[in-house]
Amino acid sequence: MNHSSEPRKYKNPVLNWIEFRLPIISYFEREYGEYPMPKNCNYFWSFGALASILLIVMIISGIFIAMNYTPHTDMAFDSVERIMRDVNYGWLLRYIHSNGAAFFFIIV
Amino acid sequence: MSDKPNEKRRDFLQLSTISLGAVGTAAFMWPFLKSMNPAEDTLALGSTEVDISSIEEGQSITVKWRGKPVFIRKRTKEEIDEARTVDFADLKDPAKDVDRVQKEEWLILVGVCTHLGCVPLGQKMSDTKGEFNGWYCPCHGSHYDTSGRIRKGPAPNNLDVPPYNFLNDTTIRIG
Repeated sequence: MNHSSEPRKYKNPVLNWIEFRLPIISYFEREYGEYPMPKNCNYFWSFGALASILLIVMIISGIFIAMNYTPHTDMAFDSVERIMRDVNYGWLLRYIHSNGAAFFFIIV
Repeated sequence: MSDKPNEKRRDFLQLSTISLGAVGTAAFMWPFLKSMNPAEDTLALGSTEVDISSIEEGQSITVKWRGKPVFIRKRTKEEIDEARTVDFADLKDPAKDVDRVQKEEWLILVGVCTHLGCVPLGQKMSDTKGEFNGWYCPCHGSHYDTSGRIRKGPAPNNLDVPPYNFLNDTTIRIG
């Protein structure tokens, strides 16, 4: 099972196994570690990271409120009321999602 | 500036960024994980309040809790004595009567036979109560005593005691 072409970049063999099949580790190293920071960088550069973090937050909160939402004309309103009143932290998840949508526009 | 203090500074910044990020991620995940716990309206269905003021000594009632029958019996003095004088170490599922009740006259049990889930007889005055004066399961003949303990028959365990507490002298809350 020893591929001669398999690189031995890392000490951990699991990392090497993943890296050989999906070079995601070197990708992150390259993008976030080695890539030089522009000297004239200002705070506007953080909007890219903000947008990508917010995208992840929106996906996660969307999945979690979808778990308690009923997409039906007769039941949708009641299910939203239930999210706001009965589901633990449901109000927080819904507000994260709605404010996150607004902040998406601001960031873009 | 020499190299060494700068490297220390970089290590410190990296470590503090990572730990702050870890704390933030954990705090962010907390409401998400909590949202998967039973919601308030589900929990409200999960407990029942029962008024037990009208139960006379020797009587029992059956209430429904989470879809299961719950036996509430106000035991007579003889029944309590009978349950307490037994040498509990010899039983199939040894349990002291004092550990199975909160107030000695009130016995509260989940009325589901631990063998194959039938509902034992013994709640009505006219029911057959089995050889030990408690409950008798008609399906395969398990006999339960006046503390709901298995005494004879195929059932492996005593009748379950549900979680409950006395809100006041005449009301209990099951669940």
